[in-house]
Amino acid sequence: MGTVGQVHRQIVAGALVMKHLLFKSFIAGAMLIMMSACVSTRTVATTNEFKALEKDAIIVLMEPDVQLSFLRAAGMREVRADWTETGRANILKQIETSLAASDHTIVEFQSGGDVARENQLIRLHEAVGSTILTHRIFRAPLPSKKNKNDWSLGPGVQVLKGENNADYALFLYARGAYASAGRQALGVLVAVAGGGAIGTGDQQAFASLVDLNSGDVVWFNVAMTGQGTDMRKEEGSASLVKAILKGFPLRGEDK
Amino acid sequence: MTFSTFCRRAGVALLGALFLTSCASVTALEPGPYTYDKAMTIQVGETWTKYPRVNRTKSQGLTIDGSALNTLSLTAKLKAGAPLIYTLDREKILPVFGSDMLLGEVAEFTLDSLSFIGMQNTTLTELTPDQFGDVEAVRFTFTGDVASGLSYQGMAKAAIHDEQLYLILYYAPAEYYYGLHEQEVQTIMDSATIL
Repeated sequence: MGTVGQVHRQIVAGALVMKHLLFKSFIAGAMLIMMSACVSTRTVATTNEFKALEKDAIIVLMEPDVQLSFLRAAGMREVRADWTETGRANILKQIETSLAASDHTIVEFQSGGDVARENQLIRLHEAVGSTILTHRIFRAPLPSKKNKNDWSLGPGVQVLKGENNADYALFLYARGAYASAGRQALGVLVAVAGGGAIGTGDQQAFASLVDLNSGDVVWFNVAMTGQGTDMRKEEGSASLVKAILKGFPLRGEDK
Repeated sequence: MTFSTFCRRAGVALLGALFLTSCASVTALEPGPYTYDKAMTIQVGETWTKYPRVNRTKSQGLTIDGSALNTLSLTAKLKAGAPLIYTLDREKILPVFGSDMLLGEVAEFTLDSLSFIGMQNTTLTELTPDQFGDVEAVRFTFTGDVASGLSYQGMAKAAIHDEQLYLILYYAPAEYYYGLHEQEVQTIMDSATIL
């Protein structure tokens, strides 16, 4: 697979395929640093009009969209519900801890009742984030945008303001894969034999701060880590959250 | 089909190749008249990103905010027996265009085709007679969703001329993005003519 002709056909025929490919680009990028335990981050500066509040903003923390998988020896990823739940809880706790010292109020999202619409906004964030990742981090051309980073979720996000009449929402999307013992052994064998690197796990996340009046994405950051960090564990999730919140514009004195 | 299955099928190698090889061919389509494949003209009011034409499906993709957020596809002179979409899975038996199709059947063919690239639960919401320049046409709207659960809305205009299919197809997430460029797409469809 992968001739130039096939690739071009894929572009036109499959915008929806593209959406899923964006996720794979995430994985591909992470593969580049998979052999290290370091964390790579990259922030996309918005061109939307945005002046960060100095203090007393109310930020809704959306439930992190986390999915963790078991990476089998053959390379197949199998989603693990228990790992996912642990990772989600760890990430949520670390974000709250990290932002606790800010001059703003952090509240966990509580459904206002329109669950279907709220879910659509969370799914839309995934699509928008993947798009930003593809065109601004991986630099796939998008000449219609020129140099603008003005992506938005639209004013429909006002349904997320809740009883607190929140100002912003923080969305986080994270995926991780952890190798089986067999695949880790295979990785060592292949490396020793000079056969190059085999993926033995990775973690990727992106986060967006969204203005809950306009829906504009006013801050976007992506973080990728190698196999040395693990969001199923407290230290690993702390490392990922520290990376993903780098440059977060509403951290106050903790910034 | 699950999200992970889709990802596995797509493959990392393909994406890498996509980014490395397609860049030079992706260009801006500025506002003004545009002739596609010497077969169809449209009037564009905003700047779109234009991807290369695909010979097998006689189609060209356009987007403004990114393909997952809005896609406009132009198809001209698609002959009988040809598919509207393309996938890497050669074992899939894709729907193919038939020159004897009624225009209502073209709408069903379009939605069936979309299901092969991940649009699920497609529903035809409106079907009305229209004109593609001087040629009898149909305009239809539809809804669907993808594996993640994100809902899409779409609209299309189709005509059969000289036993070949002419189609303008637009779809975007129902939340915010469909409406964001809906008027632009309506104008493009209204302006379309067959050469």
